[in-house]
Formats: sequence, C-alpha cells, structure tokens
Amino acid sequence: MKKKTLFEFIIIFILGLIPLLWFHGDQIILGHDSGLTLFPISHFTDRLYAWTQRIGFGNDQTYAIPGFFIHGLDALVSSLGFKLQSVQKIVFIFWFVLPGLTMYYFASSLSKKLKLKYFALPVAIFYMFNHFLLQGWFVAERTKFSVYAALPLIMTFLFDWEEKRRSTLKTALYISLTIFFLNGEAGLPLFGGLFLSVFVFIIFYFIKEFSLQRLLKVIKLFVIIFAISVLLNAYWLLPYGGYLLQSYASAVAQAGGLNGVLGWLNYVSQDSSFINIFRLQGIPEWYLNPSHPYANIFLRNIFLIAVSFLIPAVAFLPLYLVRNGELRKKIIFFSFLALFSMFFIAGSHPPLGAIYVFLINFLPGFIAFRNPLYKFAPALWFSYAILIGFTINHVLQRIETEEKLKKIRLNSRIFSYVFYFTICIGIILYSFPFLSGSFFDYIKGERSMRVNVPQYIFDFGKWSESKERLNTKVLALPPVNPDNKIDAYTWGYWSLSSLTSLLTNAPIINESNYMSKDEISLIETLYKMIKNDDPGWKNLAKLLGIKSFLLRKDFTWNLKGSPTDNPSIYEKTLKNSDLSMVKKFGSWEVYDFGDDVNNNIITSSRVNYLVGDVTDLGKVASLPFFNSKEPVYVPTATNHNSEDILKIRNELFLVPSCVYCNLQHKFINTDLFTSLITRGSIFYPLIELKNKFTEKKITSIPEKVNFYLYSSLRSILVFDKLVSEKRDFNLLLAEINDYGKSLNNLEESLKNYLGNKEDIDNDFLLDAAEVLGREKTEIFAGNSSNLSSGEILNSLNQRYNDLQRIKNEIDKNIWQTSDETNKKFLINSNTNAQFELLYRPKTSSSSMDEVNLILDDINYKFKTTQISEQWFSLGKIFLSKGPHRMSIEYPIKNLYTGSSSVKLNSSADASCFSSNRIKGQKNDIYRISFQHRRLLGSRKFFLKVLPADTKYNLLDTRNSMLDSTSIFDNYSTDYLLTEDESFYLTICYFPSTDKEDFVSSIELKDINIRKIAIPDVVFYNLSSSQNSSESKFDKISQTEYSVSLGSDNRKKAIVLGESYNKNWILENTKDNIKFTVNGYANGWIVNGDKQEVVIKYKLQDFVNFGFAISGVSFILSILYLSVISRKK
Amino acid sequence: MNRVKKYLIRKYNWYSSNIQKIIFVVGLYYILSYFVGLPYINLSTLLFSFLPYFFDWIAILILFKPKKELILKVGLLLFTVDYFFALVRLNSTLEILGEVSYLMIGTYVILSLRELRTKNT
Repeated sequence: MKKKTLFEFIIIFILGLIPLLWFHGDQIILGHDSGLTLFPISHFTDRLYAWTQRIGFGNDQTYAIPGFFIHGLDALVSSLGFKLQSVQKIVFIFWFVLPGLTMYYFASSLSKKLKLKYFALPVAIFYMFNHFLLQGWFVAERTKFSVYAALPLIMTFLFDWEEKRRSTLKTALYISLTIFFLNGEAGLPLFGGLFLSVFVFIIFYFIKEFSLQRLLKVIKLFVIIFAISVLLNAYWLLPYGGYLLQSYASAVAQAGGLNGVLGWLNYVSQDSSFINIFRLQGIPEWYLNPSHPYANIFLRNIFLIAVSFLIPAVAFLPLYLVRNGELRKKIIFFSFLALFSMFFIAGSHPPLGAIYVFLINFLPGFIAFRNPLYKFAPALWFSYAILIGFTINHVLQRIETEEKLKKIRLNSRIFSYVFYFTICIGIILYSFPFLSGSFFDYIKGERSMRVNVPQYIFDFGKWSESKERLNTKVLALPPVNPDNKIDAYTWGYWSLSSLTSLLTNAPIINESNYMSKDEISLIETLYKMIKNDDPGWKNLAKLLGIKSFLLRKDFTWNLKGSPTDNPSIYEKTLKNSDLSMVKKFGSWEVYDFGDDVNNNIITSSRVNYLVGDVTDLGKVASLPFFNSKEPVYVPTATNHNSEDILKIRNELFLVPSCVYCNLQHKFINTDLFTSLITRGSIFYPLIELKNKFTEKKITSIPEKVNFYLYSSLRSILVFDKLVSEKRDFNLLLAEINDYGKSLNNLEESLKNYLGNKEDIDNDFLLDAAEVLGREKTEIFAGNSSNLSSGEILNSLNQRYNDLQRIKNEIDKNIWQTSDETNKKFLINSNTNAQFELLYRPKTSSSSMDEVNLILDDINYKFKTTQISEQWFSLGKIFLSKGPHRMSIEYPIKNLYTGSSSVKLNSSADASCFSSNRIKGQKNDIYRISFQHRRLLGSRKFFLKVLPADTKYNLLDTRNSMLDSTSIFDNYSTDYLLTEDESFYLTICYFPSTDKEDFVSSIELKDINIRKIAIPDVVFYNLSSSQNSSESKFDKISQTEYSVSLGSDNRKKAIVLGESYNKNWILENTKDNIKFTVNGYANGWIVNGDKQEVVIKYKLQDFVNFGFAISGVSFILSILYLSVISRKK
Repeated sequence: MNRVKKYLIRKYNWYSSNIQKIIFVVGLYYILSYFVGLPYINLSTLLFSFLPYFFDWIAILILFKPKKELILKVGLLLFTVDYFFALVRLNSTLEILGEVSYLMIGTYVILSLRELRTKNT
C-alpha cells in the first residue's frame, strides 16, 4: 500500500470513530424507528425463524430473515462479551466508516485510471459526511447504510468490467457477494439509487458503442449476477418469495391504497424542488418537522445558505473545466446521473412530478417508491461526491503547477495539500451535527433516541426469557393508544415498536399493526373489559391463552396526541381479582392467574360455536357458565367450515346483531359519485356508452337495483352541479329526465327484488335507504332558490314524489332501530333448536322484572331470572333455522339530575345554565334533548356540550345558536365521546354591546341526557356434554410442536394458540380440517385414529433449505475466487 | 466611447439579422400559450405547466444554435443569482430559477453525449 493511501485510510478510520462522541454516560440508542434491541443475541436467534412469538399473537417474520447480516453483526459483537453500549459503539463505527471505505476504494480506482492526485480523500469524506446520511442516522438506519455502501463497490466492478480489467464471471461474483452482504434487509425500494446508477451505466455503455455483441455481453453479465444472487440469497428468497407474492396488495392497502400512496407522495414531495435538490436539501423532515434539531440552521444561516449554492456550482463546474479525454467522459456520466436522479428524487413535485405519478399509477411495483428522496438520493450524493472531487483535483493540480506561486517561492505542493485538507475539514464541518449526535434528539428538548434504560427493564427481559416464562403468554398493561399504537415510557423510550418486542422473545402481547383486524378487536375488547372490571375478562383472557399480565407503571399514558389509560385503573382490577403478583421489577409488576390456563396447544373433543362477531366472544365469556377451556369457533366470510364443526359442537351461542342501535347514520361521500364529465362535454357520449355497456352486462336483480340506485345518485349530483354552474335550461331538463329514468328503473327492479322475501338483504336495504335519503337532501340543496324555470321545478317535484314512493317501499321492508326504546335485532340461526334466552341490559334504570320483546311478529313478555351480576335468563324459546327479526323494549334513564324546568335570562347573574357532569367512555353516544321557548327579548343564546374541565368560551358560537320562538320547540343533539371523559351541557347568553337591547329570557323544560345503550342478547343452546380430552405436547422450536392426542378414537379439535396463518400445518395428516378458532388461533379437526401429530410452520423448511443453498453457494464462490487469484 | 459604439452596433446588427427568428420565437410562445389553454388540451398544462417554455427553448436551440458552453455558464451562474433570492426568501422565483438551471445544465449534458462516441485524445 502506498504511503499516501495508507495515510488517507487512517484518516478515514479516525473519522469513523466519531460515533464515540454520541454517547454520554450510560446512554444507549433506542426507540423511534431504529429497531435496535436490548438483547442482540436472542433477537438474532429469533430472526432465524420464519415465525416469531414476540409480536402480537405470533407473527410471520420471513420478511425479517434478510436482516441476517445486519442483526448478525450486532449479535457477533455482543457475543464477544461487550456491554450493550459498547456493542452499539462498535456497530455504529462499522456502519459509519463503511460508506467511506467503499467510496475510497471507488475513488482510488478512478484516480489511478485518470491520474487524479487530489481526489480520493475528499470524495470519501463527502460520501461519509452529508445530510442524507445525517437523516439516516436519525434512526440509525443500518439497512440504508448497507445499500449506500454497496453502491460505490458495485459501480467500481461495473467500470472495471467495461474496461475489461475483470472477467464477466468474476465481476458477477463480486457484485453478487456485495449484494449478499450489503442487502439492505431486502428492502427493495432502498436499491432505488443503485438501480438508477446501473441504468445510467447501461445507457452510457450503449451510447459509447452499440452492437449486438455488446448487448449480449451486458445480458450475459446480468443473467450471471441474477443467477448467483438468487443462489446466495436463497436463505431469504425462498420464504420471502411467497411472502412477497401475498404482501404486495396488503402492503399497498396498508399504505392507504393507491390514493393513500399518492397523498403521501405529494406530502413528502412538497419541498423537493429542483433548487433544493441541487443544493442537496429538500429532505422532507427539514420542512415538515418544526422541531428538527438542525434543519433551521441550514435554512436560515446566510453563510450555510451560501455554501448550499456553492455545492451545485462546484459539482457541475468540471463540465466547464475539463473539455476532453477520458475524464471528460466520466464527468458527463456523473453529471447525467446527478440530473437523472434529481428527476426521481423530486417525486411528484412540479414541473416533472406528473411523470412520477404516472409511473406510480401504471408501472407495476413502482408504488414501493413512495418516499422518492430516501430511495433515489444515494445516486445523487454518489455522483456529487465524484464531481466535487473532480473540481477539487482540477483546482489543486492547477495550483500545483501555477507559475505565480513558484515565483513568490511558495511551495505549491504544500499549498495544495493544505488546501486539500482544509476542504476535507470544511466538508466535515458542513455536516457538524455528526460531531455531537444532536440528530438523535429528533424533537428538540422533547424526544431523543439517547436514553438511559432503567436496570429493571433488563432484569425483566432476562427473567422473561427463563425456561418457565418463555412460553407464558403475557398481556401488557396499560394498552397503547389504539389509533397510533405508540409505546412510550417516562424514562424516554418512544417508538411504534413495542419495547417488549426488542427486549425478549417471550410472547408479550401489545396491540400492534401486525395483528389482524379481528385480533385487534379482540384485544381491545379484553382491555375494555379489564378496565371496567367486567366479570368476563378473566374468561376471555384465558380463552386467548393469556396466563399473565405485565403492569407497566412507567408507561407514559398521558402522552400528548397519544393518550391511553392510567395504569392505576388496571392495577385496581388486577388487585381486586384472584391473580397474584409473582414478581416486581421497579415500575413493572407481573401478575399471574392462580389456576390453570390453556396451554399454547390444547386438544378438545368438543368445540363451542358462536354465531356473531368475533368481539361477541367478550359477551359470551362473561356468561357465568362459560368454559374458557373449550375452544370457540366463530364462522366468518373467510372462516367457514361450519358443517364439519357442527359435528362436534357442544355449546351454541347465537348473538343477534342490533341494527343501527346507536342511531348514527352512515356518511356518504358524494365526491366519490360526482362525475367529472357531464352532459355538455364532448366526451359525454363515451360516458353514456360505458353506462349502457355496464347496464347490459348486469343480469342479477340485486346488481340491477344497485346499479340504478347509484345511477340515480350520480344523476342528481350532476344535476346539482349543472345548477350551480348555471348551465342552460335544456341541459338541466335532460339531466332531470335522466334522473327520472334511473328512478323508474330502480322502482321496477326493486319491486322484483322485494318480491322474493327470502333473498332480501337487510344491509342492502339500509344502504339503499341511506342513498335515497341523501338524494332527498340533494334535491332540496338550494335548488328552489337557484332555479327559476317552472317546468324544471315541476319536473323536479315529480322526481321527488317518485323518490319518496321508492323510499316508503324500502322502509316497509327494512329492519332498523329508529328510536331509543325499541331495539331491533337480526338473528340467523344455523339450526332448529330450543334456546335459552339470555339478556344483559346496559342500564341500571328500572327493575328488571319483565322484558317485552317481539320475535317474528309474535309478542313475548318474559319474567326475568337473574343468573349473574349482569345477566338475566328470560326462559326458553324455539328458533327455526334461518333469519329472524326481534325487537326489544328497552328502558331509558335520564342522567340529568337537575331541575326539569329552567329559566335563563340575559342578566349577568343568571346568564348560563349548566347540567351535572356525566362520566362516559370512548365511543359512547349520548342524546341530549329538551324543549325550549322564548319568554322575553331577542338576544341570542348558545348551546354547547363540553368536556367537564372546559369552560364555556363566549366567543365560540359556531353551530350552537338556540333558535327559540314563543312556542315550545324540541331540541335534540347527539354527543359522541372521543375519549373517556366527563361532559356537561351548557347554555349561555351571548353578551351584547347594544345598550338599547332589551333583557331577554328563555325557558327550558324536559331536559334529558341519556346514553344510547345497546343491550346484549344471547340465545344459548347446549348440545350434548361429552368429556373433553387431555393432550401432551412438546415444543421442538417456535415453528414446530409435537402433540400426542391420547388413545380414544373420537374426533378432536387441536388448537395452536398462535395467530392464524395458513402456513401452520399438521404434518402427515391428510384428513384434517383447518379453521380459525377463538377468534385468532389455528384450529384443526382430526379423526381419532391419530395418536401423535406434528404441527409445523411450513415456511421454516424453506428457510432451512435456503440457508443450505446459500451456504454452499457462498463457499463455492469463495473457493472459485481464491483459486483464480492463486492462478494469477 | 468608441468601444461602446462598436458594442451597440454589433448588438444592433445581431438583432437586425435575427429579428425574424426573435419574432418567431416570441410569436411561438404566444401561440403555444394560447393553444395549451384550449379546453381539453389544457389538461396537459395542468400536469406540465412548463410546456410552452420547453417548446420555445427547443425552437431557440434550433434557430439560434447557442454555444453549449454559454448554456452551461448561464445555468451555473444562476446559482449565484439564486443566493440573493434565497436571502430574501422569494421561494417561488427561486424554484423557477432552479428549474431553468436544471434545463440548461441538462441541455448541456445531452448535447455533450455525442462526445462519448469519440476516441480518447
């Protein structure tokens, strides 16, 4: 190694030690989006499996296997016996220095070829110290660093190959090995910058000379790279291949669908203008996060602004300075790459953003690049580093040969080197946040990734990994905020990843985005039941296999924007129960059930059957006779093996659904149905043609009703649009006629639909009623005041009558709750049977001696028998197989406790009325009603429903005026609680500045505040009681269990308490039926002839096989390369 | 004085000999601006508002054949001008100037691509 190279190498290494400056005291880096763990070794070993128990009710983690090297490095350093902080320091130094080294390798190779003296070091330093990496270090994004470091290596190999310095096979091997080690955890979008660079390389390769031979050469190279890479990466490609095929659609849906992606794209692209990108700025966080630790300095300091404009000027200057030679070609290449990458980095920002949006819409897979800057920027920083290096070299070589300097006897060489190192220091200083690590304090003064983790957290982690606890399913308390699922602690941890998932491999359940909708509903139901100390919570917890509860008293439950419940609420419930505290770790307490709870695997010769929603498990679990040891099957659209399960069913629970019991109607977003192209446009005939074509294709009656229903909605919306645009008479008349036609067709098809009573779908009628209600509103929407033509008004009136007729017809057949006292239910019985009718009122209003109900038009009056604290038995009732309609008379209770009649006047001493404070829970709805009339004067009174701790703001009179006349009017409003809170009703006089205004007063009476509650009803039937069977099982690994079923020959259900996944299979048993059980778990029904079965997560075989292929391929690659180099 | 006179004469001569081209370019701009404002065609300007300028730029390149070094120089010098706009926070102007720089440097690089085919000297 040359002296200069060695010296520069040492400088890069010394600079690589900068991460040592980031740690103070015992701090470690944790939280946010970093994925850094507290126990790297156990975290790494968990990632060798395709299934993890760390997340939710268990989760597939084939997507995490490519993190083998990134997490393997952490584990390797940790295994050497270093403390966690030292592990992080070593790992950070590695990732910090790596891009510098790979870039130095590339730059040295270029400087050798092009004889550049002052080049490699500033280029490497610029590639190490820049704003792109700074932003990456915010969350220590090692995946990003790995691909970023791979880019210069791969480009070196490609340039060498082009210049025939290396054979095609050897080049392919080097590139494949680079991608093997620096794989960005297979985050394909992270390769955006690399893809662009390779693409530009290929373009230039063919611009230089195009021939068939060259084309074949390129194809050969990339085919070999592909083949070797597939073999080397088989360990994650095999299992991940299947995951990718399934996950594309779900990943898009998770991002909010295509519209969500475009919305996000516009959001993050709003500041990525060309001028910002030229200056290596435009990073979304700089502009979107007002508390960004350093962005404002760069955006406001005039010196730093000047430097930012100097950067593009210096970068593109070589185009002007160097006019010929090989160097010129390289300058053109990197300038082109810079400009080309800028187009992608700008995303949807004008002027070229529409092309990017087009690619997102129509290029398959491009939707993955929804964060353009972060994905494509490496190509820009890479090209800028090289271009700036060219300028520095050019200027310094000129200085070295400058005659004027020689004349004044200044050693030009020394001068050049001083300048050379000054520039290097300047580059480092321009990225000064690296020197302090301030970027970890991502919200200045509020949140930081540098935290001091209390010792008890580590102690809990170790304890939970002990043999006896590793298989204990634990529920974390209090819950995270269900909307954003932020896990935050008083000692500073803040992240969307639960702390427990980074701490231990034990199954600790936190609500997370990895859970299915049903799992989230179930866990939220359980949390709510624990919070209210509902008697059924223990049953539900046991049914879900939860044996233990982790109470975290250091949880930041009152975090701004992410409030949840005070841990003390849960502590009270836990202490009231028969659970015992088994261990205390600082602010963390662990409570266990005293008695037996379901193991992770149970077998049972009987299965209970619940017809209803998954969340109804909470209701049935609160029944006094509920047995949590027996699995419960809940049929859904995706879980339908009803016939097979009925053969071994024991208890049957029918839980009727209450239709519109909360009296809240659906919101119809009319924007979705408003046509852009309307009558009068030259494209309108095309729309008509399309509608006719769609109409012709429809054959079934329900589809026809649906088509005409939404045609009529579109038509009336278009009519309103034409009216608002003041279009001419003929257009309006034609549109209203169209609307009439749609209504006539709807009426006719609806008649056919309603003719067949058995096929009537109540949900469909509910939708239709909502749509027609909306049309009614649209007809009145200002049309009478905007229309002057009598002919159109008459026509519109006629349409209105048609509409009303159709709506009446629907209302006759619809089944829905329309008031607070008559709750309407729908039941769908799957069998003819005698049921015990169980009833749980949600109010303590009146005595529950009698309950009146109507079932299928027959009146019943039931005497009640209390069977538990909350539940009543109403007696036996027979239900035939099929749908039934039921109405229950439900008593309501007035929660207002003040005087029923109140007089309010505008004099200062009695200008406000306030009700008593009423305590409610999130999502509860309260109806507030009263009668009011004006007694005196004309001054205004306003009404508000306010949280208990909020005072009336006299200036805020939005939507709250009480319009009273001299006769009593009814006033009614509904109030939805968005969190657990107390609220009150207040009515105030608005102070007037008019001195001549008379004293005013109003009277209120029949003041009523009541909760719109929904009672629980369960139809219960017990089939035949058979003995349940016991089983034994061995956990071979987290992806394999061996289960012995016992010797009796009955059919059995096997339940694996892991989240349902079709890749969990019963090995060597063909005649089994798989289904979701207990709302989340894997269940199988097997014939009694089997005595032993193996449950396996299928994808683990792929992982094992993939590791074998990758290992062999890697050894062969290394052998080949060493043999070749020895021959040389 | 003589130098100023010479300069003015030179400029005058240049304008006299290129007046037709100048009128064409200006006229083209107005025609394009009108054209892209027509119903339905204006959908394209909704996405690419720069289209009239872009076509005008191509016309300038074809008619005046400016030296590519001049294009690059202007593209680079604009960064100096940008600095002053950045200081007074005229972001919309800054953004437009950035786009002009992109267009100019991009034009220069595209015009230089043919150099890649030449053998090294």
